Amino acid sequence: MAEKPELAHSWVAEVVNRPERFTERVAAHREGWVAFQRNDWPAARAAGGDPAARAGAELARFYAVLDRANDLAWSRLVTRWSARGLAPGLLQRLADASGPVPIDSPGLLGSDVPGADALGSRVALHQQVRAGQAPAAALVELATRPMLVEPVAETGQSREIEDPWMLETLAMAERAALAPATDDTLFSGRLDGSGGFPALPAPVNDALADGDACRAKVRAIDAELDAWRTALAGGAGPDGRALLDDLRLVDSTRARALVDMAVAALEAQRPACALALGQLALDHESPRAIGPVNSPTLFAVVATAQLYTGRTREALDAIEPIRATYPAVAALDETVNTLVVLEGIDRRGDSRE
Amino acid sequence: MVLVQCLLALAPGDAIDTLPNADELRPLLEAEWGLDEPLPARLSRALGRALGGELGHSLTVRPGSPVRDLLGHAGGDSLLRVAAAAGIAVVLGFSLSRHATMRRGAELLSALPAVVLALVAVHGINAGTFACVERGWIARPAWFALPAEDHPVRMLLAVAILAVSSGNLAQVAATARADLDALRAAPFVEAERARAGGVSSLLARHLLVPVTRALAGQVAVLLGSLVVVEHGLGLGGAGALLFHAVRLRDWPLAAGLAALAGATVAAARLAAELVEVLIDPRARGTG
Amino acid sequence: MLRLLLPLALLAAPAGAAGLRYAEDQAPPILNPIFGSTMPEARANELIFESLFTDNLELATTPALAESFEVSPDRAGMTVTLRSDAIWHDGKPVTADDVVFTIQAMKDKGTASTEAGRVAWIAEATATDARTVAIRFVRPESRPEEKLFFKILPRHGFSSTVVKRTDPFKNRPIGSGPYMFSSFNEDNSITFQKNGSWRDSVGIGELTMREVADKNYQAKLILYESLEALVRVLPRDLAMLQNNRKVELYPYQTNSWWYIGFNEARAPFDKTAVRQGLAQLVDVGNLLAPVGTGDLLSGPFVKSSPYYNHDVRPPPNDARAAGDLLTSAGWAKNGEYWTRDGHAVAMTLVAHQALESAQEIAVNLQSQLQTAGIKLNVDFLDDAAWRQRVWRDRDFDLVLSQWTFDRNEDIREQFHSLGSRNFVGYRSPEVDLLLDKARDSLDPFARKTALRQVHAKVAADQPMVFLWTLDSYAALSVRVKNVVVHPFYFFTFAPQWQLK
Repeated sequence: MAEKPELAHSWVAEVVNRPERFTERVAAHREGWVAFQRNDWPAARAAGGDPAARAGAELARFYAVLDRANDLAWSRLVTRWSARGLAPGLLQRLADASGPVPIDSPGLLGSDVPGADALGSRVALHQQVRAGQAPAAALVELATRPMLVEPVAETGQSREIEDPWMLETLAMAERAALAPATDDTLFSGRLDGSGGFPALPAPVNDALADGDACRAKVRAIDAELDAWRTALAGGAGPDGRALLDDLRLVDSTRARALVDMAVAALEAQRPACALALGQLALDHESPRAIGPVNSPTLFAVVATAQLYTGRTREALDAIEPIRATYPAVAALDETVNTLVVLEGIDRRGDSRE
Repeated sequence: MVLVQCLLALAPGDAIDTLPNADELRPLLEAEWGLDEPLPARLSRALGRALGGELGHSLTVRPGSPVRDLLGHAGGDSLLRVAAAAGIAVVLGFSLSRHATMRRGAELLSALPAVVLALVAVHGINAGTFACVERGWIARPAWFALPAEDHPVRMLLAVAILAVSSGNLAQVAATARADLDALRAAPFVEAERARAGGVSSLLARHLLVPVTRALAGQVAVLLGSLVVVEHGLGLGGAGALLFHAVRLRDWPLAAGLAALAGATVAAARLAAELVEVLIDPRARGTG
Repeated sequence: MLRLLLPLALLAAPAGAAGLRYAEDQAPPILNPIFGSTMPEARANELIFESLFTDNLELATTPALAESFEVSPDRAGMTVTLRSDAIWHDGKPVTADDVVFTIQAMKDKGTASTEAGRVAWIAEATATDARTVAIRFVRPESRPEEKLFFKILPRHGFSSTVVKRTDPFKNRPIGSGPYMFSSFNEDNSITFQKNGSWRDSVGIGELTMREVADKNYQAKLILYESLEALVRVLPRDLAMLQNNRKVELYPYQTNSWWYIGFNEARAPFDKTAVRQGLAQLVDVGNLLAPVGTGDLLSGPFVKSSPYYNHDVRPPPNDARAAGDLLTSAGWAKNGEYWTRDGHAVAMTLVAHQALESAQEIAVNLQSQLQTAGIKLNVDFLDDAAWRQRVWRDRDFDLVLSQWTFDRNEDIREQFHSLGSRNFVGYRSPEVDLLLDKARDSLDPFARKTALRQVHAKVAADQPMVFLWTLDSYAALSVRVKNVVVHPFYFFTFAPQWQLK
């Protein structure tokens, strides 16, 4: 991975300095590329070709990142639930302190489980999707409703239990469906021609300091990008400049690069770093909308990092913008909602004008 | 003092309303803060204490602090600004009186509300200075944007805005212009010109009376501008304090500030009359 | 004048920043947490004072002045043991007597503390020894430590448990926190120095609160490097700060939403059809556009809230449907104007003059309603007038305001018929029951369900036009390191901040 991006060799420099190359690259699936550029992956997928392949790869990563958040949310929910002495119920059947139990766990589908039939048919659908025998869409259709409703005899109320395996199954299905793309650099986060992205700084033991080190890294990248942006604009012709400005090429590429780094940080167990990178990648002019700068994975990374750093309520802020476009996220949203309520259930509320 | 307290009493809400649990506090604080008394009784009690030098304590701006202490800290700075603004008005007014264009310019500037002048001046100077600092032309000056302490440059800015926006400058220039024309044509001035050649000091001495009279008439306006300028420039002073006192319905503090303002206006008029007595023998009167 | 100024500027020595400077719209007039009412006070108190428990970096409850605690098996009481190294800024040790004193002072009717509700659940507190406090509860409590977040005061700073705003303590507040009060300055700024005896290290030596009433100017000041921190950035300044490489933006969740409330105690706003009709005349997106970015809402929670009911949509901006509703309520359209009982409809909207962007919103709303045939007058009120007209006398037709909630988002006071902040006068027995159920429930699913039902019911009854929630950001200089911002109190983790 490169320490210092060689910006002059990046795809951005190529298309800005030679706009005709851009036209050639997008000619085959123009609508798809337009959708991919603004991070509208469902539309990109529908267009076929390279945009569809690239969107599929993004979706696989997106669901994989969210699955991490899901595992953590479930493990915390179950742990807190037990600690409060709340009546054991379906929650503790479906997950333990390390997260959702594997879908083929023995005893998961015991006849003593209330709603065993519904659970059984859901598990079966998961297995079919994982084996490629059913489309993922069949699962996603069910995501906006709870998987099970568990009646609570003591209170006469009921509990809505979400699907704990939804995101894992979708990530697996997307990975299985991955197709190679012939053009894997256009609208990528590759800041240079070497195919890498800026390396994460060396980890620091203290979480806060690690976050700061990553912020400092971003500032160094920005200093290079600012000078590069000025040089690009100065050397480009009218068409190149139009591409640069209208498509926000530098900003969106920067954001993609930072998201790539943030995902690597999560994988390296550095959530404070991932959170810093995600927050610095966000386009604050429209912070709640998916767009050329704010990709769904960006929100997913921020949500996951917030959960890892204990900011459960803040994680909901990052989940909310992706919930409408990706219904599968609703299950995670509801699980985290329940966790937030449980965490604050004893606290006294305060309000100000 | 009476007028300010009446106006505060007429304004919606009182000092207790500025506190969050006002309903709970009202029974306790109404008696303590004298808000349960009818206004005339409260006024006469306050006036009586004021005559004895007792101005009470602040209720909400600086809870419990003696009003006299607050006036001492804030009043000194403000009076200095007012005096400096008056001085600038006199000096510049004399200069401008000779030039019709510059006099017209001063009138136009005086027509602008103080708050507009203050905001434009502050933002303009800050932005310009920051541009110079960013380019490395100058080092970051100590007085720049929200300095830690009061700085002569900020004081100068406040004084300049006061002098111009409150109408002092235009008023002095206009008075000087009008009286200057009449004086120049006066026989005793012509005689002095013929005798000594120069008449500047004679003119200046004779202009001093109408100019100080004009200034004294403007002091009240100057004090009003002080509220806007100090609050707008973020300067501590009696003007800013009055703004907070009215906003928070702190009637003892507002009354004390009104008393200070009244005393200042009275002192200014007295000073103008003393100048007249000293310079113009006709004003000394006959026995 | 510039010719005079420039040489002075050139001669002047460059100013260096001593410590971290942050801005508040209004300086706190008093630093005593039992009288805390405004957010500037809460933030300043967070620097000076400590509580028995606090939030850790993960916003979980952690001991602060407490070293350990034990809840009795019947959950009717607890004992708290204080840290042995906790000392006041004047060098005296923090003792159990101080905790007992604080609780008694907050409960004392003579004090009339704004925070009395925070100790209403405590029946009695006694010091069993110098470091141990025994607390007996009014009712059994499952996690009492979650309620011990109020600040502790030194007994030796006061003469009795009847604490007054005017006590000398206000001139020299003594806490045990990471920062000590240093001075109230003449320009209304307040300086805090780090407490060298605090139990952990404190990164920044000095903090200064500067009063800057104009929020727009605050944003400029941080660009000018005259401030190092802004607690809250106006939405319209975000773009300017985002593009500046010397400033970093830190988003945080304020659970804050804006609304236009109807005075249900006053005709014609007591009719649901009128409220719904008026709501449908308002183009909320158009009101928001000049203010900033945010989420439009359909009910009394922010969109990311666990209690937000996503099945409830905001009312459409539909003039025809609105007309039908108003007609059904007995209104008639006479030419261009709506009339009621033969008179042209005119209403008064009140707003707090310090509410950011209120003027823009009010003017736009006026224009929208004017186009629809309704005259709207607007009154901007200062603190005292607001309290009197809105809170005390309920003298308004419409009110434009916002509520900010901590992460518990407890809307009971705003919507329960007995709520102390329900000044729109909303009454619904069904919502009362649901709010009571939510408050009493320890099952998160039950609480979520109840409050989502509240959302649906309140949206249908339309006591307010729910407007939006805005994005909240703090802005800090890049020189400030190790920044973590507490979503409500801001400075809870400030001791860890460093200034390079």
